[in-house]
Amino acid sequence: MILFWIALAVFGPLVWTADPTALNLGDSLLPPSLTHPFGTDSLGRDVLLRVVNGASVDLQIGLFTVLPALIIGSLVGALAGYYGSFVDIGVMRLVDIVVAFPFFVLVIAIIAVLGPGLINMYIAVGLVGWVSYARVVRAEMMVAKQMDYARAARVLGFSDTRILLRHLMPNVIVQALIYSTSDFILNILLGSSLGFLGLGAQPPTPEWGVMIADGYSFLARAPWISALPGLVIVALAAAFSLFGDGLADYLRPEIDR
Amino acid sequence: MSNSDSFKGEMRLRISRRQLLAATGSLAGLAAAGLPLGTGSARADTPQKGGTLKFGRVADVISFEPVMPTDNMSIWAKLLIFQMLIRSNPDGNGLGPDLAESWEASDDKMTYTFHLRQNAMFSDGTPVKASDAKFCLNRCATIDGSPYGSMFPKMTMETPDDHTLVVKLAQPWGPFLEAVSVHGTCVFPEAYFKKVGDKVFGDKPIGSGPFQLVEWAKGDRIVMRPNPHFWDSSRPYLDEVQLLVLADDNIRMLKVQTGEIDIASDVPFNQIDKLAMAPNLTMELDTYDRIDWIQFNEKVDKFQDVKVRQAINWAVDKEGIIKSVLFGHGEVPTTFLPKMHDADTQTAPYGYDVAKAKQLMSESKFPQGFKSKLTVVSGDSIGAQVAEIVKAQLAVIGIDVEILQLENVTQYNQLAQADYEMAEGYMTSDIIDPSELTAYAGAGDEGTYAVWTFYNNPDVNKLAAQANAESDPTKRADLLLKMQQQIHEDAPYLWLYWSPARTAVAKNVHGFKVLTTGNYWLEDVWKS
Amino acid sequence: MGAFLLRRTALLVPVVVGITLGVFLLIRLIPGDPARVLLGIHATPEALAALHKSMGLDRSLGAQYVIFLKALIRGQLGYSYFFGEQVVDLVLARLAPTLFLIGYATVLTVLIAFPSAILAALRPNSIWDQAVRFASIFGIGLPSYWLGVVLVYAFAIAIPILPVAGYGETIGEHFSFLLLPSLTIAVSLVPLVLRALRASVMETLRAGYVDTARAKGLAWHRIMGRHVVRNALMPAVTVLALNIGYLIGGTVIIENVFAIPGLGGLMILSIGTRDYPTIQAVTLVFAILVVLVNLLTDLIYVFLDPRLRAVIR
Repeated sequence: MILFWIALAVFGPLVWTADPTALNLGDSLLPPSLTHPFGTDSLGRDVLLRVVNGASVDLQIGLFTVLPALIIGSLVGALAGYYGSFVDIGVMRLVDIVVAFPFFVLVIAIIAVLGPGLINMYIAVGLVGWVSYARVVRAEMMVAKQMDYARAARVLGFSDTRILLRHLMPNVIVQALIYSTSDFILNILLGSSLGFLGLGAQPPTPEWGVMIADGYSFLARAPWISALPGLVIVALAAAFSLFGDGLADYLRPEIDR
Repeated sequence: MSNSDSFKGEMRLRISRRQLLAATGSLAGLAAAGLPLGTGSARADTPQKGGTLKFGRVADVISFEPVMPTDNMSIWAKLLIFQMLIRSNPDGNGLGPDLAESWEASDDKMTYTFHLRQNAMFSDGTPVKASDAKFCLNRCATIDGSPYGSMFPKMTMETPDDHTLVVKLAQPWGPFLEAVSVHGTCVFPEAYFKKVGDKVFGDKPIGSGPFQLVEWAKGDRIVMRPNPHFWDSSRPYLDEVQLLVLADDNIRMLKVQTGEIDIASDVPFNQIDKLAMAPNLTMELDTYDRIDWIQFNEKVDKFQDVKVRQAINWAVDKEGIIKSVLFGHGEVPTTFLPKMHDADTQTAPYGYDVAKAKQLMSESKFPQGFKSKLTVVSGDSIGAQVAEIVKAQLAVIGIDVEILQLENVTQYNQLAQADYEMAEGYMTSDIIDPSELTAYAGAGDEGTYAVWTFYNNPDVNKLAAQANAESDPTKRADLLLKMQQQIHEDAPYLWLYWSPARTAVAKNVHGFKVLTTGNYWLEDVWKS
Repeated sequence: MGAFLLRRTALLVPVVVGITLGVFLLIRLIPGDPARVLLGIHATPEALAALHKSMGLDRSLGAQYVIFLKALIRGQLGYSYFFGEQVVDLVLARLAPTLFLIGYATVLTVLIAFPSAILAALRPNSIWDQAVRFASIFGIGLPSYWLGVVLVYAFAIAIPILPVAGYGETIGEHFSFLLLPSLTIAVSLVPLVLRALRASVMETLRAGYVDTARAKGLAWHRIMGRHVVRNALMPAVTVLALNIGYLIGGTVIIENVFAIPGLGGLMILSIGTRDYPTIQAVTLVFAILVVLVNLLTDLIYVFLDPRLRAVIR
């Protein structure tokens, strides 16, 4: 199912070359019909068209928010879990601080200082997002390093780096990967909340979250503007959820070993 | 703390006695007039006493300090508690009595005498004295940082007795009376103010208006009850007014539809038609002195060329914007002022002429076009839509606009520091005369630098000063016309639209209207 | 046990300090002068300077932070020039609605998630299971403000049984006014809790001792109550605790949409007016809440799982 979405993102705009940002003021706020399967928004743009074009934007958002967080968080968590003592305490306190930090204040500060836009949103989310991965990986690491194969490696005199990278990480990172599937969707949704406050993708970029936020003002009059992007996000969430469950089921037998 | 509790109790007793007297008085009066009582139609026209009015607004008051706050929420709430000497008529034409029941000007129009009502009293029971009016008017015009300093000439004031205020002007000043009607001149007790200081006064104001402040839960709601010492004992009719903070548009509209609130301000344009059809609501569209625009920073070289600015004005389809974003509830502006007294409605507006725009661009210093940034306040749905339309239409003439949504204070900060290129903005007038706004947005030599566009045309500045000094209304109108036409030529703004005040009012609320200055008189409002 | 508590509480302090320091620095980075917001566009430089002095903004950053800490130790949170009140009073007045909202939302989450999870776990991959999981996806996928208004349309307009928004006056009114906003928050939390619960209930059911208990003839409901639920609670509690930050963040938007006079609304107001003391105070309260919840979670863990008690000793 995920492949479907990726395909849509890549091929959609190629096949359907209409401009999603072109305005057509005469056609504004048309309800769903044959020519416009999901209606038009307040500026006459076809909702379906914008959603299709938004696919690539949103998939990018998911990717660029999850990847850095995953990499940095896993590394930090692994180190904390492996070395323990001061490294661990320091990292965990930092984690606690970040977790309790009001995200809203951070976002406003970053936007105010660096300006609005997607890249700065990635920075804001990245600063906070690594934490969950760190926690998960650390917990796994603390268990994994006691395992026989890890002990064996140490006894054999392998360097720490080698043990970490070759032996422990592949096992430890599994949970993090599973988590990343839901993190992907959550970040896209975060983009929506930020869009609601005007602090995410800037107009006229078609981004599902911002489209929902824009449609919110028209909820009474033209609910279809929010409906399609909302449904699409839900569908994507379902896809990722199934994917994550499947991944977990597939990988779980290995962990129990 | 205990002081206010005890006099609150006192107030309540007085209210009921007064109400009783007033009610019987008016009934007797009606009977004497031979009007039939008790028939349906008469009952609908006869104000009934009592009831709580719940008014949903978009934000909270910042402070009740009389002069400094310039946000409309504070101003419009303040006007329920205070009186000015004179105030503008609801239809935007002319001035009427408020605290002053009559006034006259000397022949040379340099001396004005105001006769205060004998029975005007503050809500704490003290009488309103001319010395209070003098203190307040003086403070409004001369205090450091007053937003209204440039609206007044130099004045000297005398109070020959407790109910007469004489103001002598150092020079003739055409819009003097209109300036006096600005809300910043509202009258409060000098002694109390000096005792508690402006900070405390901002929280616990005392005025002579129809209502008094009873409770203020910051960020949530304000409760007002009638001023028991109000000079007109038959009004206000309401028992209580609640100003509720309901920032979310959807929720505010839903609450007025279910009857949880009686009045909802700022109806979203796309819901006007829907609410007009609601059986329990009246959709009030009132003329409103407001104009919306996109302004150019003339410190930036791109916008120093008048041809560029004119081209932009021709390139944007304002009718289209009004039709699709405002759903037809707006007009294309013909001047830099809102559609108010002495506004130029004769000059043809900048229409939608792409060919002309391209022509002008090719004649300008930037025939290839350029890149620019447009800042919009985040959370403003109308503003965002307008920005997208403007972006698309400026692209046609070679201007590539990047839209940036910024939080309110951040955007305002950028303006003040000239750190922007194009920015959305608007202005409303607090008085029915253009003199407030000519200083704010027209003359470049005032403290606001023409809303920080840094537009500065010495001819315009001269015309503004002359218009202020001119007492003959016809000559003045002529000067203002010349000034507006020049500004129109110079195009320091991309003028977008004039729009009405949009309020949803429950059908059982009578007498509510939004004035052209945006505020509302609630002493005439009653519920059936 | 006591030592454990003490140690954990001691660890709270650097966290809270770190947060206050972080916010302190961060909000001063945001452009916008609080004095200018208060005094308006025509403010003269002298007036601004005078207000800066009384707000304490003319001192160095370090000095300002020390003043803040000293006041904090004395239990004071500063004075807000915008609200004209001591920040402590401001925060205390707004604490109740937010706590009510959070508590209400948590209870609703549990009430919805538990039966659904158990239902799904008992019949894995059945139509019930699919339906429950599918429905919960909607909870994740839809943004809270949108869902909130849709719920209002459903239960306050179409079927007018609940008020649209606000907080109400009496306790009874609080319950009815806060039902829809709490439900909105709960709907977004349910999917997360559900997933963990379902997995752990299934695991517990599979575990050996359940069959043993059944073989021993123990009543079904006793098995569920004592073993299954107790073991399933832990992951649920973990998930809830992990997401407490998200929950608190959610109150910010929800309080604004539903016009609830709580801390979330105060946060937005004070950021908008650059009211530094209030921003710091609200952040502090939120941070303490999160940290307390985590502490509570650890305690519940220990309570639920006797094996852990041995570890901490």
